[in-house]
Amino acid sequence: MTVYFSSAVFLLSLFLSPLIRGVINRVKAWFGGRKGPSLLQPYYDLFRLLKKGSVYSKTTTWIFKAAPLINLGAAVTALLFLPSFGLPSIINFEGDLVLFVYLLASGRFFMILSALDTGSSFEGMGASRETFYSALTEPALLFALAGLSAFTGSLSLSGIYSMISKSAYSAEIIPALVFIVFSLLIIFLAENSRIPVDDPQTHLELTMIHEVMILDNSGPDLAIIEYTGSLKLWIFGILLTSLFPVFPGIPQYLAIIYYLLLLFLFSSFIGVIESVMARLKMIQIPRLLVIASAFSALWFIWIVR
Amino acid sequence: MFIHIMTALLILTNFYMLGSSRLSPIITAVSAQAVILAAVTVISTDLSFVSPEFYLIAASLVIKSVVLPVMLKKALVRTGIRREITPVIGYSLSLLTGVLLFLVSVKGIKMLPFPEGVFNMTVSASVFTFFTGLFLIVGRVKAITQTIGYLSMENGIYLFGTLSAGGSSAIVELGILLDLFVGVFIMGIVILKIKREFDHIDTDELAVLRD
Amino acid sequence: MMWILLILPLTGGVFSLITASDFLRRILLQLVSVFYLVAVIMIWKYFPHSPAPEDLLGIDPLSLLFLFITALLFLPVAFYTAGYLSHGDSMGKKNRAFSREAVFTALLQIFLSTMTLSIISRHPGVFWIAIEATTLASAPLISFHRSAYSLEASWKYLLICSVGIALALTGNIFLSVSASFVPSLGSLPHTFEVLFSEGDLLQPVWLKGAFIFIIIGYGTKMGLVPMHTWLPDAHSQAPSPVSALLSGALLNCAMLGILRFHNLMKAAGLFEFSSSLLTVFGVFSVILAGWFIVNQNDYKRLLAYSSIEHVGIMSIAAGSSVYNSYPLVIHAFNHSLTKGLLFLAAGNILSFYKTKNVKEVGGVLGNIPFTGVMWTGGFLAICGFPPSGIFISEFSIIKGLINGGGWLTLSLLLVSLSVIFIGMARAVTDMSFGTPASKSAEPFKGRFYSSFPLVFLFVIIVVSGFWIPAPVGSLFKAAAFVIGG
Repeated sequence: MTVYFSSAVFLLSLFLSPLIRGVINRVKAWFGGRKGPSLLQPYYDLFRLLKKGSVYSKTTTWIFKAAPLINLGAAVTALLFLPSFGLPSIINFEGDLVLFVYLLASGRFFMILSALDTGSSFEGMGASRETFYSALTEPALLFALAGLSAFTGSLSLSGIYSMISKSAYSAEIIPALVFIVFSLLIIFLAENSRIPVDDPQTHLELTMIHEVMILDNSGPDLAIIEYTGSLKLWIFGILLTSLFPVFPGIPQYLAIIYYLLLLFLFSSFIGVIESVMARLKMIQIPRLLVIASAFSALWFIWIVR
Repeated sequence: MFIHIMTALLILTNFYMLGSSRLSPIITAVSAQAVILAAVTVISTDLSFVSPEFYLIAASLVIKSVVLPVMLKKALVRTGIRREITPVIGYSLSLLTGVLLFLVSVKGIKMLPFPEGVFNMTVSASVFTFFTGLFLIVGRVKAITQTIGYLSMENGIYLFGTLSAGGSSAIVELGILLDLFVGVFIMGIVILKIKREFDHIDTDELAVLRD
Repeated sequence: MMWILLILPLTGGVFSLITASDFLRRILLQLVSVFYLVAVIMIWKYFPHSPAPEDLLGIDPLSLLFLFITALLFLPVAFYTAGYLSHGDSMGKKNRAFSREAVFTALLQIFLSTMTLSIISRHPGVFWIAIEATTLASAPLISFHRSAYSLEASWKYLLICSVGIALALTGNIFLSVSASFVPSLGSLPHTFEVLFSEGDLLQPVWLKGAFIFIIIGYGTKMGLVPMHTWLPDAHSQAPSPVSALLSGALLNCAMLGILRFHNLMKAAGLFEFSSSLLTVFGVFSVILAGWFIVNQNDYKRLLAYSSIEHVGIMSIAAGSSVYNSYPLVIHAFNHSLTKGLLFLAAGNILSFYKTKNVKEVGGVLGNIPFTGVMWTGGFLAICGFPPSGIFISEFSIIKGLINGGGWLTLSLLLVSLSVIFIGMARAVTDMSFGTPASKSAEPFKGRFYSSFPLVFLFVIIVVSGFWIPAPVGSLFKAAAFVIGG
C-alpha cells in the first residue's frame, strides 16, 4: 500500500515541481509591486522551449548533447531515493544518502563538462565558478545529512525522515537541528543558484554562475535543463521542509496536504528572501558557504559527549 | 523545548556577531542576546511576578536590550562609523574560530562537576557567548566593537551565573547592572573623545605608549 | 559609623560638582581628606572592629589597616591637588559649576568613596561591584588633560581592567557554584567569613577555578604580569596626584580581594595551589619590572614599573605567607606611602622641567633642592635602604623565603631586586645630580601645597623605619592575623 502511495507522490513530484518556481516568481513580483506572471508560467515556458528546435555549435561533441539528459536522469533517480510527505522513498537501502548526494553531483559534473565542451570563455568561467562553489557546498550537504543520520541512527534517507516524522529524538539536540535547518537553507540557495548566491535573472555574463554555463543550450535541451532545475528546487525543498513534521497519527492524505502547503510556504519564503536581499559579491560567497559547512558540522558537538 | 530553541538562537547571534562586518546589526544581535537571556532566566527559575528578582530581570532587560544598544548606535552615528574594515582576524577565520570556541566551551563544561539539573548545552552556549565577546575585543580594532564585545562577555557571564549558581542576591545583581551601565556609558564618552582627538577610533593605532 | 567613610567623600564630591567657587571646592577637598583621616582614627579607637559573619559591609583589622593607609595617602594627595589645580592652566573655565575642575575634584572624592567600599566589603559580589566602580571613577581622571596620550592610556585602562574584572565576576560565580554544594550555607549570604567557616566543605574543583579567575581578574587591576600592560601607561599619563592614588591606594584594594580569596583557599586546604599561583605571578612581575626599569627613560613610567615590582613582591609574600603575613601588611603600608611620595615629587619635577624624559632632567637637587631631597630620599626608601620601612618588610619576606626553602623564588627575587636597584639608581642619579638647568620657574605658586604633602609622607616613612607606635604595631599584627598569622 505504502509503495503505491510513494509512487503516486513520485509522479506528483515530477508533475508539480515547476510550480515552485512559479510561486517564487509570483512572490517576488508582489514584493516589487507588480501583479506577476501566472503561477503556471514555468509550464508555459517549458512547452514553448520544447516546441522549438535546437542549435548546436560546431565545436561541441556528443557530451554537449548528452549532458542535459544525464543531468535529468540523475535528478529523477535522486528523486526515487527521496522520502517525501512522510512516506518512505520508492527505493531505499542503508547508505543510500551517499548515493543520493553523488547522483546530484554527477549531474552537475556533466553540466560542467558540457559547458567546457562549448569552448566559450564565458561558459568556461561559469564552469569554474560552479565547480568552486559546489566544492564548498557539498561538504555542507554531506555534514548535514550525516548529522541527521547520527541523530536518528539510520543511514538511509527514508529511515532518517521516518524517525524525524515520529519525533524520535531527544529534545537536547533541537539546537543542533536548528543549525542543520539553517545550513540546509543556505545549501538550498547555493545549489539552486538563487539570490544571494547567484541571480537567476541576471543578464550580465560576468556576474552569472549557473546561467552562464547554459548560454549555448537552446530548445528542448534548455527545456530539460530548466525542468531539472525545478526538480532540484523540489528535492532540496523537500529535504528541508520534511524536518518540520506534522504530528503523527494524522491520515495520510491530510499529511500530504500539510507537506505540500509547507513546501509552498517555504517557496514563498524563498521569494521573500530574494526580494529583500541583494546578491552577494563573488568574494563573499565562500564565506556564506563556509558558514553553511560550519553550521552543518556543529551537530558533531552534540554527539561527542 | 523552549529553552533548547533559545539556546540555538543564542549560539546563532554569536556566529552572527563573529561573521558580520557591519556594526549596527552586531549591536542588534547583542540586544537580542539580552532578550534571550531574560527569557531563559524567567523559564529556568520559577519566579512570581511580585518578587524583586522579577523586577531585576525586567530592569536588566530594558538596560541591556534597549538603553545600552541605543546609546551605542548613537555613538555609531556620531563617530560616523558603519563597519569594521580591517579586523585583526578576518571574518571567515573568525567563524571557524567561533566553531572551535564553541567546541572548547562544550568540552570545557563537561570537565566541570555541575550541580544537578543544569542545562548543559545552555551553559555551554553561555560560555560561548563569553568567548565571543572576548574574541571581539581581541580580534577587532574599532573601539565600539570592543565595547560590544564587553557587553557580550557580560551577557555570557550573567547567563552562566543564573544557570549554574542560581544568580546572586538582588542587591549584588543590581550593583553589577549599575556598574555595567555606567561602564558602557563612560566607554562611550571616551570613544567620542578619542574620535575628536584622533579623528578615528581604531585601537590598533592607539599604540604610542609602549616600551 | 562606617557609613560616614562612604558618605563623607560622596557628599563632598557632589558638592564640589555643583558649587561654583573654585576656592570653596579646593578647601572642601582638603577638609574631606582631613575628616576622612579623623573618621578612620575615631573608628579605630572607639568602635569595635569585629563585624558579624553575615554582614555585607564591615570593618575588620585588615580593612582598618587599608583604610588607614588610604586615609594617610589621600590627605597629602588632596592638599597637593589643591595646589595643582590652582597652578594648572588647562583646567577650563574658572569658577563654574560642572567645570572640568569641578568634575575632576568630584571624581577624585567619588574614587575615594568607591575604594572605601571595596575595602570594607565582606562579600565577593559587593567587592566586585566596588572594584569595577573604582575603575569607572578613575578612568576619566586619567584622561583629565585630554592629550592624545592620556586618552590612549585611559581607553586601555578602561577596557583592559573592565575585561579583567569581568573575569573576576566569573570567579565569583565559580565560588557560588562551589558553595552551592554545601547545604548548610543555604540561605546565608555568601560573605567571605561565612564561606571561610565552611571552607573545608566547598567543592574544590570549582574553588580552584574560582581562584584562577580571581587572580587573573583582580591581578589585572593589581598590575601582575602579564596582565599589567595598562599600568605603565595609565600611571604615567595620569596627573601626578592621581598616579599617587592609583599606585598607592588602588593596587592595595585589588590585592585585598586576592588576599581574601587566598585566605578562603587556606580554609579549604588548597593553599598550596593558591600560594604557588601567587608566587609564580609575583616572580614574573618582579623579573619583568626589572627588565623594563633598566631601559626606562620616562621617570613616571619608571615609578609605574616599580609599582609592578612591588605588587610582585607582595604577591610572593602572600604566596609564601602561610604562617606569617606580617611582612606583607607592613610592605603594603610602606610601599603605598613611599610611592605616593615619589609620584608627588615627580609631579613637582614635571612641572619644573616640563618633560618626563630622564635625560632632559638634570640637577634636581640644585634647581629645586627641597623636591630633590624628597625625590632622592623616596628613591632610597623604595629600593629598601635601611632605615626605611621597606627595608624591614623586604628583609622579613626574604627571611620567610629562606625559612620556607623557596630557593628558586629567592634567587630570582634577589637578582631582580639588584637589577632594579641599578636601573633606578642610574635614572635617579642622572636626575638628581648633574648641572642645574637654567630654568627658573617655581614648581607651584603656593609653596605650601607643593611641599607640605611631601614632608608629611616623608616623615611617616622615615619614622616608621625606626619606630612603630604601639597601636599601629598592634594593628599590623591584627591585620596580619586576619589573613592567617
